Amino acid sequence: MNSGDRGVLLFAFNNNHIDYAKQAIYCAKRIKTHLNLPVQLVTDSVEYIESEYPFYKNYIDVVTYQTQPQSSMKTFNDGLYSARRLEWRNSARVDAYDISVFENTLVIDTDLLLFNDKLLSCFDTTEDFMIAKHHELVNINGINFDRVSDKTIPMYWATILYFTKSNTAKTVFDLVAHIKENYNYYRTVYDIVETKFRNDFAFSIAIHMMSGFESSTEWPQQLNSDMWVSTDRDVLIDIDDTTVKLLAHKSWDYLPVKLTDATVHVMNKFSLNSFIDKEFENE
Amino acid sequence: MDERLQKALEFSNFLETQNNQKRIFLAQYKENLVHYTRGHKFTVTQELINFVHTLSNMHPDGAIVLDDNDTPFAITDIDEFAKEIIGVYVFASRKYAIDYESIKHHRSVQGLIDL
Repeated sequence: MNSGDRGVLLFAFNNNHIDYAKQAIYCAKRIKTHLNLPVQLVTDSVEYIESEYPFYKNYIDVVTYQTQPQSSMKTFNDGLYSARRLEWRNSARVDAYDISVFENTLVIDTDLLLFNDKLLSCFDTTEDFMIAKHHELVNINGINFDRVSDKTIPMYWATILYFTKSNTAKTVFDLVAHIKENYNYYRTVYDIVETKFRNDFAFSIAIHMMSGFESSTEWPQQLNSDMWVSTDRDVLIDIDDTTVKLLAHKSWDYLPVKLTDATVHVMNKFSLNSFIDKEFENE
Repeated sequence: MDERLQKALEFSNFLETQNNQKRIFLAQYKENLVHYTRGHKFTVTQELINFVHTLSNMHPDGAIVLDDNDTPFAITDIDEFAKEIIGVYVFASRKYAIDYESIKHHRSVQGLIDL
């Protein structure tokens, strides 16, 4: 396989307060450092990134325009003591298969910070579809992301997906599109309390259905990732080339945490964006 | 606040932070022991290392081993595979030791996290 066959796909649809396009450029910068792969960005903010972040071309190879997907309302926490209810436009991921310009595609969330090259091993497998399942929390705080709901199926994380242009992957994405169209039905069947559409849940349901309605350990295979999850109740303090420092919430207080050489999913968009502002001052 | 109580709470915070860092280091050690080769996943254990070493001595022309998903993997160059997994083990265990050492002597939260 030559390097043109493989790449990373990012999605960014801004709301009034969170600049996902900026996050995507920062994420792409880390992709270049650790994976050295081409990056495709799917966004409705093409003119915005060209005017606000002209240096984006250093990190993003292909920009693909897509209209805003349908939004839902979501509470975004900024640590323990601040929260905002904002629009959330996350439902375009289902289009990844059709929109990717690569034969072998890694899809990651823009708030996933890479500090190692472990994800490169995806491209050396013979698998057509892989998705993150194993994860670690930056602090043990009672939150459980193992299942989509207490009584039902294992949760997979659409935060990191890998697929090849293949019948298997196409079937997964087509099924996720069907689940998205009939989301109220499926979330009721799978006992999901949350009403807004979530990619993680839709992919988890699709995997369960394609595994013969069983929790299969055979398929899909785990991708090689060490995803550390920091929820939006945590606060990001600092990032350097190898290390991320956080205040992780514990009950109504914080615990300082340091992670080195890890892959970190930073859900607090506000503190991530503040950090990126400082980073981009030198661009 | 009573000084005795304050010192006890500071120690409690320190211990909690230290224990969480130790948990992170151990989880990273286990993740670093995973070796991906030619589409197969192996968790490198002392047992696997010894088994491959035995194969190398007694059946050097090649052998089949099962990966973490119980999928058969044909090792054509056993010595090369042995080198790979020992390299993974040495890297993971050295990193774990260095990480652990880095927090062992600190007696404050600030020292643990370099705040």
